[in-house]
Amino acid sequence: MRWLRHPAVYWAVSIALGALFIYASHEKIEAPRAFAKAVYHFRLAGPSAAVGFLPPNLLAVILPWLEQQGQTAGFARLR
Amino acid sequence: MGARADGLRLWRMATIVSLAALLGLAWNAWSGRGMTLRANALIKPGEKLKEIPAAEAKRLLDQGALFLDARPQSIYEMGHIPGALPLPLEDFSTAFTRLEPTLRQRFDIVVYCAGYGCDASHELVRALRDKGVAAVILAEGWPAWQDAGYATATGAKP
Repeated sequence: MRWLRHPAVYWAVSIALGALFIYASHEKIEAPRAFAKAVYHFRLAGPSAAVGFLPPNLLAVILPWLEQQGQTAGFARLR
Repeated sequence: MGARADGLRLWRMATIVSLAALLGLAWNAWSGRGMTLRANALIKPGEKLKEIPAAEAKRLLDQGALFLDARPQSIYEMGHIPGALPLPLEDFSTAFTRLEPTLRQRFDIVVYCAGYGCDASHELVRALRDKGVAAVILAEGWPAWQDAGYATATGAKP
C-alpha cells in the first residue's frame, strides 16, 4: 500500500476530485434558479416569512463560485 | 511565526470568499442567466403565479375555497389539509379528468405541495392554467400549514 503515498497518486487524485468539483460548480453556475430550488430544500437560510428569498438566493449565486475558487486555489497549492 | 502563518491563511480564505462573492454577483448581474435575488426562484421571470401565506389560505378555507394537494396520493393519505382533494402532479391527466367538472365550477382554488424547494404546486397551477382553470399557491405549502398549527386530516378521504 506504499504506492498510495506516491506523489503522483496524490496529484492524480487531487486533480480528479478538483475537476469533479469544478464540473459540479459549473452546472450550478449555468442554472442558478435550479440550484436555488435545491438550496430552498435544505432550509439553510430560508426562505421564510422573516428573511424572504434574498439569503437562500445569495447562497445559490455565490456557493458554486466559492466551490470553484476553492478548487482553483487548491490546484495552485499542489506541489 | 505561527501567528503569521495563521494570519496569512485567514487572509487567503477571506480573499477566496470575497472573490467568489464578487464573481457570483457579477455573473448573476451580467451573464444573462442570472436570477432576481429577492424573487422566488420557483416562479419564472415575468410569470404571473400568485402565492398566498398560510393565514390567508386558512381564511379562504373557512370561506369554502377548494384546496388541491399536489403531492403523491400516499403522502396525501399521511396528512393533508381538511377538505383538500388529491390531485397528484405525477398523475395529472387521470386526476384532472376525474375532478374536471368540480374544478370548472370553482374560482377559489388553492394548491399546495410539500413546501420549500418543492415546485409541484407551481407545476400543477401551470398545468391547470393550460386547461383554463385558475388557482393560487399556498406559499411554503404543507409545512407552513402545519407550522401555523391549523387543523389537519389523515386518510384517503378529504
